[in-house]
Amino acid sequence: MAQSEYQSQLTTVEVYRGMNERTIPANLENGEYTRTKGVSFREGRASRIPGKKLKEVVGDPVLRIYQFGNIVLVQTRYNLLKTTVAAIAE
Amino acid sequence: MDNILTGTQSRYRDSYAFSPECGLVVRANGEEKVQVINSSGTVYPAGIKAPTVAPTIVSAGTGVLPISQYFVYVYVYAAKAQFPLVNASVAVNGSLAPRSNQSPSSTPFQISATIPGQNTVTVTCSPLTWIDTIWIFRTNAFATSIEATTAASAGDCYFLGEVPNIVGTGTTTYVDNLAGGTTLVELDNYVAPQFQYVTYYDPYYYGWGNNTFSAECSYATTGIVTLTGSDTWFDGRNGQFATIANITSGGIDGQGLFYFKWLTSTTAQLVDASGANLTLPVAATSTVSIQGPAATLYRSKIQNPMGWGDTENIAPTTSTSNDGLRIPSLTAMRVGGGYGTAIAVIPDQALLKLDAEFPASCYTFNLQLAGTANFVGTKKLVSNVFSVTSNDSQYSAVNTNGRMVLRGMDYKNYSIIECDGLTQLPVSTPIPLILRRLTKNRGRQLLTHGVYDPFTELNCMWVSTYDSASLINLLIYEHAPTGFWGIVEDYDVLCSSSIQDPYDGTTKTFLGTQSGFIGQGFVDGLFNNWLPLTGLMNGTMASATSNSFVRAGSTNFNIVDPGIVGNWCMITDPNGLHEQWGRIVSVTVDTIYFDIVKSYMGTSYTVFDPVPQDGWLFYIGMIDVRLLKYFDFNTPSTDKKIEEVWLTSKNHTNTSMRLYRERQGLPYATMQVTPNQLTPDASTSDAMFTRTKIPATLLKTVGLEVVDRSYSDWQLANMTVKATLEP
Repeated sequence: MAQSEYQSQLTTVEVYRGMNERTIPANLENGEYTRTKGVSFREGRASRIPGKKLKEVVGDPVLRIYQFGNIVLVQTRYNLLKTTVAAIAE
Repeated sequence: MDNILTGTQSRYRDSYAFSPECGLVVRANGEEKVQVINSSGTVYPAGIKAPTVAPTIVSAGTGVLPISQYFVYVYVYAAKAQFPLVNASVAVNGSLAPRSNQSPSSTPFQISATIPGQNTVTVTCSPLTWIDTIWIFRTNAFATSIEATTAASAGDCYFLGEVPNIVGTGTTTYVDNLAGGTTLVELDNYVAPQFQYVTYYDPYYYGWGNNTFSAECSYATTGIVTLTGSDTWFDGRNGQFATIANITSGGIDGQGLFYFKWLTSTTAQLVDASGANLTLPVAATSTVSIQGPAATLYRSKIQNPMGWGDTENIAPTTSTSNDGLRIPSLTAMRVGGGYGTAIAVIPDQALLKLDAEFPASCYTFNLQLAGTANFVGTKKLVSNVFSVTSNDSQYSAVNTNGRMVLRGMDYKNYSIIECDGLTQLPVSTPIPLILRRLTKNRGRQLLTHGVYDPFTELNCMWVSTYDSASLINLLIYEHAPTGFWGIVEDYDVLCSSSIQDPYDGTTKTFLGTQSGFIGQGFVDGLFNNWLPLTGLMNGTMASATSNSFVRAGSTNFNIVDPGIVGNWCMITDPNGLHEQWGRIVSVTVDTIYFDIVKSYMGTSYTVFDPVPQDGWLFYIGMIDVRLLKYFDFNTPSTDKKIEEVWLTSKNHTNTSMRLYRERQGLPYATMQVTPNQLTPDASTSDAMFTRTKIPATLLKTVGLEVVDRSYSDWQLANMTVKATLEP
């Protein structure tokens, strides 16, 4: 069998090992390391990243959140608010 | 939540620094005056202004003060009750409370030539209720008036006693009948200078940077400048340099440089160094710019944010005087670079890092030598190419080597940069395309922020792309253990913060949004954004307009609980393509309305383009998942036919696959197919093996993208592609 005929019949497999934390493919994809959206890694698999849990609606844009001790400062567009860690973390 | 300040500036994010040692937070933003906040949420200015009225002295009759001698008095305000953990460097009457600098000196007062006397000292009370004490100081006795005046000018005044500060009375008195004191008045309790950013490393607070204020204005020949746009200014800018774009003469230098004096939120007076009003040659409209010291490092006193000075003692004390020769000054050091942009302490190292731009520079200082004369000599240039653009983008990250480092955003170099104390270099080279599509708007660049989330082990940076409909629209993250980079649409997330929960001991990432949400990010077991527990979250449209849609079916939206209004919704065509996003401004039981839109085509930020139609799909608060990988089977020049694709996945409920010819990406998807679930779990969503057949087409490279649009804990173990080479 000629080489070309042999190759034409060959079925090959390529595997995307996106799940292996230590062997993530390092090849550039169109100049980008990866085009992955919305996943990270857990238990050796690509997993949807966890989401956000609403604790408080203050209405104005929230520019800054800062903790010191049990106190949390919240800078909104025109005000500085104070709350406690317990109030927003529980 | 308690409102502790109203009418605050909104031009920049506040910068905060907390000292556990003195229990106080310093707040700086470059616009308002620097402030101090205690654990009760009470806000104070960062420093006590010295009294401006000199004490007056009259004789109180016979006493112990020697005949014919001259005395000069000064006084100082102190806050003994409000700051119990502040330790001023000199105890006065046994108190280490923060205090002001001294008042102007009294007129020299001479005791009677025949009878030793005592004096009544009248001092002016502070109107501030938190100033509770007034300390009285006096010179030693001198034979001449000029000697007493000179001694007072040099600060050689000794503590006599204290009186309560009585708000509302105007003045109070103290009777001096003491031979003399031993505690010298401190001279270096300067109020905090104006700066943009603050950090703390025991025992000092450090201030750095002053951004330029620039806004449209009109001005009159009286030197009154009025803002004409929506901008406002604050009195923190007082004393900074002001220029007007088309004024090139007059002022303090003859070339149009003035001092700024705040009058109201929109008006100001141009003045000279003494505060006297200056005039302008004409009245017109233009642009006013205000600039404070942009690359000067300031430092507080030890564990004392109410004092920002230092005293150099340049002469030894003598047998007759223990004062030496004291030179007080604001603790300030010009560092270099153009405009200070960021300040931070390198994690796990006693190194202070300062970044500047225009031109770029990054320096470190050894904090173990802070407070010594050698501190200046520890200045080390880390980079004059890479520097952090946005102070808030700096955070303590964990790199792939497991080391704590500082990361920040460098927009001028299209890079996320990392500093280990020795070098500051880009780490984002694997994602060059995304970083070249970020905003060119300086204001939005400064809103960039980052945090390390310990639960997911992600190093996160929230940014705005060049075409963003909201101030922040993208999260770029790196998984620390693997170095794997990813992105996700994360609209409106304006700030992030690590908060340690004292009740379970864990560190959580908290987020705030442009729409006014506050909540926890990266929540264990939660796979949606902001949603209430009940109500319709995704489905099909019955009808739609360019900024609203009506859901099909009979399940209603939740109009009671928060989380829908202000949330973002993805809409697609029936095939899952033409993704568009919109922010929900209102909701009824069957209709969603949008105020901000990221359309598929066009440039409008208020209407969808194309307009959705009957049968289109919507997903509220969904985390879009996509994994795109190009396959060429290591034979890039060989034609091949993709036969099958196998997925090993979990929670497989709304997964599809897209095929791209060669190395194209969106919007060039040639087809979207739904994989078929196979054994062993075909009857459940835990499809560990899923196969799909790819219709015949001949390609050298194929892009295969797995897309999952659900609210589940979707997982992908691997994707196997089977192809025939040269079929």
